[in-house]
Amino acid sequence: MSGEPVFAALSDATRRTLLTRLADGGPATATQLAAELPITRQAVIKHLEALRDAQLVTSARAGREVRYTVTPEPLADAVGWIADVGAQWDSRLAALQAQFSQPRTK
Amino acid sequence: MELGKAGQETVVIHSVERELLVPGEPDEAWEAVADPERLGAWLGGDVELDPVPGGDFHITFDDGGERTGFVEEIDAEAHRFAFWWRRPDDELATRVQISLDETEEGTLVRVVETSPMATLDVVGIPLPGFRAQGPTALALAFA
Repeated sequence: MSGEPVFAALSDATRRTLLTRLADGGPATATQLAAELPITRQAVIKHLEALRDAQLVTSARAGREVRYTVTPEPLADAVGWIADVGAQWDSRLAALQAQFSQPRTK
Repeated sequence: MELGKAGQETVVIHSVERELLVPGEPDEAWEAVADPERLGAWLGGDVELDPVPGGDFHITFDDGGERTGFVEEIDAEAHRFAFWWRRPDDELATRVQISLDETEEGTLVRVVETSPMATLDVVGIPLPGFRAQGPTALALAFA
């Protein structure tokens, strides 16, 4: 299930540190991250790959290195997503509310 | 949903929150909300749920749609139920957190559905430069 890589990625403190650094400081290569943080370059790469599997970061070639970026979620999708998902929960909660107005049969 | 800058990239966060006040205490509401037998009645479909952390979750909606996922947390004492789910043709799963809080007027049922990045804020891992702003949006603080 694709939710599991995301959950696994978020539950590791080092990966959260890397994600935080990429979100706060902008895109970076594994070499840059290893220089800034108390993590070996090898470990950085392993963690970045886990974050990429979870689609929390994307990567692109930058010369001979690979640069990692926090995944931007497309704006157009966001507006539609929020409207659609909001409407879905409105209707589900209305169904839940209806259960509380009906006498429960035993 | 807000726009902002993180380094040189624009990052948008998907987060939706809704609330419903129901009569009675959280223990009563919990049964209606999280019991595997009753969950489908309000989510609107047939639910298959293994109600333990890591347990499988599947729903076939009455209109034919489908979601597959797994349970992250299900705590009858804390009245918290969280799961991840995705459509069959989506790669990205979203997280749904349902929590119950006791109030003077009954039980407040709170649902928050978030995309993976937004989930960091929900589980209390704030990213520097991100902050929660109101019940339905996460915003980036401009430097």
